[in-house]
Amino acid sequence: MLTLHTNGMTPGALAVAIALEEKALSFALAENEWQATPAALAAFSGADELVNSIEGEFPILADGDVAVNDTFFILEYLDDAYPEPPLKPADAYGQWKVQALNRFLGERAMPAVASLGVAERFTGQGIVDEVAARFENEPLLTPERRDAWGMALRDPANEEVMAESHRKAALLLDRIEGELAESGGPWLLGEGYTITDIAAFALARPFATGELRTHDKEIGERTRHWCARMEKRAAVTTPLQLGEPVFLPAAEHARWG
Amino acid sequence: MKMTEKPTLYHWEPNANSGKPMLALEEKCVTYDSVYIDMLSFDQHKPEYLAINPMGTIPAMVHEGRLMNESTAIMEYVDARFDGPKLRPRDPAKRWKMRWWMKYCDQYYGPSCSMIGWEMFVGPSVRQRDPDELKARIDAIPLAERRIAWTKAIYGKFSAEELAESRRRVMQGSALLEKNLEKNEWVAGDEFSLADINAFNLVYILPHMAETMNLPSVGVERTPMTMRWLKRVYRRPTIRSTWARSRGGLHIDIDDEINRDLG
Repeated sequence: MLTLHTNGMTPGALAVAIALEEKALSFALAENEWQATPAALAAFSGADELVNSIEGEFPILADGDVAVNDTFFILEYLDDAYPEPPLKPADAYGQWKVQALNRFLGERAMPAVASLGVAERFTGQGIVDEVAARFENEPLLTPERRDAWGMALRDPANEEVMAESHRKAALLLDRIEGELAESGGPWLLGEGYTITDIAAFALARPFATGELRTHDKEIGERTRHWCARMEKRAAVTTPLQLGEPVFLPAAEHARWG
Repeated sequence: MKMTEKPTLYHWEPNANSGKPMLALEEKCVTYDSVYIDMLSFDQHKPEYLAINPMGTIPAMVHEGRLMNESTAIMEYVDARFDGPKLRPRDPAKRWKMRWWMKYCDQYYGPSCSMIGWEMFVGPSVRQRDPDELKARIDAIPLAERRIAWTKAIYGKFSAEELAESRRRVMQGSALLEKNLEKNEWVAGDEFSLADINAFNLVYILPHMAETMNLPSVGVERTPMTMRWLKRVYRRPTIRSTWARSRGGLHIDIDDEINRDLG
């Protein structure tokens, strides 16, 4: 029995849901209110890796007795545990490309998309101090996660974070456009559809739909067509109907270099 | 699997990120051409290297005409592409755990340790050079992030708060690794894997930073299981063969580490 635990349909949760659909795996969706994130995480407090996530508290995929987190590693796990249909290249170099691209998406792009989304979502919402304080004083969360939630709720459009996020979001759009140009499409790595398409789509889609914008950077033509191709896949259509897109604080921006 | 050519690995000292693919290649018994790139002489930003790796990062590997960077992804390539002992668990959940720990090392534990090391070692070792030369070297760095990193290290621009936070994270990362090793012989469970290679390349130095940098993160008293794990890794012949490629930058005696009294 597979259960996808989320605190909303974040880009990470969307990516995992798409991968589950691509694998034709039936799953239950356990969606928690974002305000209840610490309480929901407490159910997994026996696993150090789950409560010390760099990326954020959710998504978590429970697969019988196994529970795994971190969006890109959940996608890798699904392809390792359920190999058909394959969502990674068969050759070692193709797998290297997947992992190198996923590193970029996780370390550079995801924090930027999350920060821009958090600014859209929480600015002017009048989040009460009590809610922010609850996250900031939650002992189950790591100090970095307490800070991330505190900043998202108290200062969602922090000027420095916004500048860095716009810069990195532009890198994301450039990278996708560049990969599609280099591979010749129709997918990021060429003819083969992979978990990198899924992960990148979940992050780039808000810019294609207009939910998010970057300064001085329009989404490229190749990227727009690639997004449209993604949206036509049956395994993408269903997860998009699972809930409204949601943005919550994700991994922190790299502190150095 | 038939190997058509030797890979060429461009690397600095056999530790941190450079040490990861070096040790993985040794564990797989893969013969490779080793090209030493002297990071402290900024070899990685010189035109001849940028012609090979335009990003100007080390390590990088060329195999069958293809350039690869990102040290952890290179390690996975090495395991997938070459014959030899498997360095990734077959079990999907254990493989997930291996990747989780590699990310924790790459993006949390390692950068914090690295910031302290650059502040204490890399910055001072190049800071005395001609200012115009240093500026030219920094300007030649292709990636914006790396320009910022070098600028901070060279000119000692890490704030006291940044350094204190890095120290806290090294202490936290060491405690979490110790907790993991209380339950597991190796980082990803019951078998040696790429996660051990990854973690070793940053943790081996920590017992030596306890006094020199007043950072008691890993030691016999605080992290006994980590010390035992380090000893198990030091006993692998590949550490000796990998460290033989050092040009004198490690200053650690492997026999002393193997014979270290753990009480």
